[in-house]
Amino acid sequence: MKALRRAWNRLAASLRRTESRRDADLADEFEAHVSLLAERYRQRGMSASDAHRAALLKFGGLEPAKEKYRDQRGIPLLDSLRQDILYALRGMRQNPGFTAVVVLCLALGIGANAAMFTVINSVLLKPLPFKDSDRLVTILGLPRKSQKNFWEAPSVEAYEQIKADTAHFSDAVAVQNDVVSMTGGNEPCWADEIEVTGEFFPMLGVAPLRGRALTPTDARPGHDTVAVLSYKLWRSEFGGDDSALGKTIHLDAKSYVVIGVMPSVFNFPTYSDIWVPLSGAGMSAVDARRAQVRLTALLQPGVKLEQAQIALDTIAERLADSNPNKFKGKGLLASSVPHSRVQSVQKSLFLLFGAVGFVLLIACANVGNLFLGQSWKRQREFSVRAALGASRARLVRQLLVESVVVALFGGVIGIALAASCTGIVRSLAPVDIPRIEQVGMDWTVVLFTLGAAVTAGILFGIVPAIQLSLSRILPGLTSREFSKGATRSFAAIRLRDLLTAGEVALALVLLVGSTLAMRSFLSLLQINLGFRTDHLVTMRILPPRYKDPKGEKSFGTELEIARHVRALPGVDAATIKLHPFLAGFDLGSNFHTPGKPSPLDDVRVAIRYIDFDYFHALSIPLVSGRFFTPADDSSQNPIAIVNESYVKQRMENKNPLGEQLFEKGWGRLPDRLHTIVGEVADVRDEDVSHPPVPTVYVPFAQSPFLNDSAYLLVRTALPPALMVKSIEQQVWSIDGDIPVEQVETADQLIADLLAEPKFHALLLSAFASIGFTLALVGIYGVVSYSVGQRTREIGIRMALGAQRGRVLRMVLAGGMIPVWVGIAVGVGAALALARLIQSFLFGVKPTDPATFVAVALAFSAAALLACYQPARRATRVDPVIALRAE
Amino acid sequence: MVKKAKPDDKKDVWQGTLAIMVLKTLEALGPQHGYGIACRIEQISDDLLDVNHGTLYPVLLKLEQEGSISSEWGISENNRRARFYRLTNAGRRELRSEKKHWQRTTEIIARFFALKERVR
Repeated sequence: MKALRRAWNRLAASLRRTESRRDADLADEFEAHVSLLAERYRQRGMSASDAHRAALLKFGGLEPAKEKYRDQRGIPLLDSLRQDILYALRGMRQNPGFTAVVVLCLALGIGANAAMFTVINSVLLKPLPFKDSDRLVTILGLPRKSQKNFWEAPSVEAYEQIKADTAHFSDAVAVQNDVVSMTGGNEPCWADEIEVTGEFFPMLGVAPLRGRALTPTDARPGHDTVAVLSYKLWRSEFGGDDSALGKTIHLDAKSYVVIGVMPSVFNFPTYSDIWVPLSGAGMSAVDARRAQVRLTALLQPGVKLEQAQIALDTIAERLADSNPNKFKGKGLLASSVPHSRVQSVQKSLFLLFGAVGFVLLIACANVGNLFLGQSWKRQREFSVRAALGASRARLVRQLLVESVVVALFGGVIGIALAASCTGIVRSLAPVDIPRIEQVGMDWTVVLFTLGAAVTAGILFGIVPAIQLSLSRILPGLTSREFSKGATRSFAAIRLRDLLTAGEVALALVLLVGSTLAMRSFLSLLQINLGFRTDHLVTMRILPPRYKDPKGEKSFGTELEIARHVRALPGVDAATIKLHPFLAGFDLGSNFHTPGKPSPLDDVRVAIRYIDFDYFHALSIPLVSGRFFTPADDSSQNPIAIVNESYVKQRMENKNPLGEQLFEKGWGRLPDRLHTIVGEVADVRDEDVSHPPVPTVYVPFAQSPFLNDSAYLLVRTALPPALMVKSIEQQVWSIDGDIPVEQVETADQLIADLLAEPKFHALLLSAFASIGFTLALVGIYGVVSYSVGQRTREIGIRMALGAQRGRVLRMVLAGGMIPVWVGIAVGVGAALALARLIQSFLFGVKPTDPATFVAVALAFSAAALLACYQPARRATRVDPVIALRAE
Repeated sequence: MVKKAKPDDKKDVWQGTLAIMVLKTLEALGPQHGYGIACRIEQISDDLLDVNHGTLYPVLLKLEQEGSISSEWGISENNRRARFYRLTNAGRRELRSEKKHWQRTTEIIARFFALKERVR
């Protein structure tokens, strides 16, 4: 108790008052004591000076008494830490140029890290806003167990089995996306709808903003006519008014009562405007339609993803045994929800984070080198302090405190830099990075950055500290040796060269990486897509099929829209495509040559359902046969056009004209035979970086099914921006209720596809240039410093007859040897890391010899330039002056 | 930092003893400055305890940190700014228990010495 109280008082004393103030008090108290003693001695008849001396003797000396007192007063460690910090700050003020360079180096390194961490924190680290989000898994059906790239909806039976397996899954829900027409709000509109089973909201544990969310009771037949709105829909269609609750709305002509509104951040598993119950009966109906049902399950606490997968395999086997016809060969696949949401970007962000870590290491090596140079200049200071009784540990600690203080300055500026950069990073980032819009600073980032700064400070502070503990301190006092600069210890020189080599190696790896990324991006830019991308505009149209009383889907509206738009002046061509343009793999039936295995097994075949004007709109050349015509409609026998890759890879280069193609019916649709009427050139109309795949084109009017939406592609004679309004007017002249959305030019779509490689190339280049500049500054600093140190030696050499050229070569070699060692190590490291960036590169190998040679040569040349200037200075040393300086 | 010649445990005993003297002095005389306390200790011990007055201050600091005494600034007899120490209630309790403890210790030690003589 007493000890505790004492400790507390000591801590409080350390924090409360300044050292100097407390020392002044102590001095007053002691002097009063001594003067009283002296008075006593004077009264005994001593002279004033004798009495004072006797009093001091009796007191035991003022200074030792003060020293003992101080040891017990506050907490010595804390007090001396404060001293060290104040000393460090004073040192920084006295040497503003050096401080500025060091702080700037660190601010760049730390700032780049903070910016990158901001992104990673928001995208990868922050938990999803659901209860137990790390235990959520998505379960997909696999039509063939061995093929994990083809998915289908899991069956109702699988869903029930998963729900029953309570050992592994604590809950499971089914969700299905749909697009529905909605009336009952401000205006009739289309809404993205998700049907969910009753446990969906309780499982995710997200509280509604208004009203209540769906519960298991709502999913029971007869109770399932309730709907929950998204925040966005609530605002746009109900004015964000509480009166929306209890209102009746119609979704595809079925009435629902609004019971709640979800908060704006809620978008799971994808964005939706409305959530409605998916009842058991609904599940079976969904199963029959083979629509896109997804299962989401919550794992039992402690169950790993791998264990869940084993459980799913067991379920799949059990199903196959019970009903071989339906389930033979089928599988189920679990993937973690947080994982799958960010999987695609995780690797890329970690790669960039690694790169930015290199930048910080380079900055540390650089600053370490600068500090090392500085600590030689301060040798005398340290020697004096050591002579006055400072222990080596105390001096090392002071160096570390100084470097950490400097690093914290760099960290604070770095945070400011990063805060101003997040906007740029966000605008550069590809749109498909999840949660990129939420990227921003928070306390995690600030703490991370300060932590990084302290780590960096210790990292580069260690270097001069090691040097200090390696060197003999006392010789620094003898001024002769000091001025000669002859005390440079061998170990310390090696340390500097080691640091230089290290930072060169890191910078080289960064340069190689960024050059590869840049070359990859440039080669993507130069790809010939095979079609004209300019003056091409695409938009999504949603024909109002709900107006059709039978809900029957007909192709008429889309084709009529295309016809109308084609008639516009300024339009060269207009076509309809069932699937979005330049958006990856189109979902369609399986096509294959009769008698050949299904394409699921080997080569992927792409299907395009397109109106006849497609080839004209894209300027795709015909190789043989004919294009489609408006006459090729559903009343005719099915026909098809194939591309060159199809003929090459699937038909052994046989003349395709007149050959038959077998179309496996999708779901309950019948199988069909198509006759090939033409062959067209290969184009990359799926993705930019994918080489063309075997493709089958089928007339839009002969498509076996329709989606809720289709895509209009228009080639315009005028700039597309000028035409969009009149195209929309033309669409609405058919039906004013047809929503037109996602209006984008092909050039924009391509830019979006290239956003990720561009993001990599630009960020890596930025990091590499920072690293490269830091390394060059470091090389220059080291060589200039060593020239300064060796002035006398060079003077002697020249006095003894060394030629200027020889001196120049000597200094250059001294500077370049660590650089070359660094380049060699860097090349090795870059080769070792090549595997990591392989998947990000296009059209260039990660071990591309030309890149390596060019970067190594460029680096050598730049380093040589950095060494040359100080080396020139060395040759201008006047031997007479250099020797006389002694 | 200068290495201390005395080992720490011995120092602690010395500080403990001195602390009791300080507490007793303050109880007897009321608020005193360091010089007054030192003189009183010398006086009571008949100058047998010839100490450096400076060694008193770490003891005063320790007692103050423990809350046994408190201090305030005042003016000394020769008109100088001086710190006056005063016994707190906690200090009074501390002194009582130290007194009891000390008496018991000396009693036991005395008995041991008596025992030794008888055996001899």
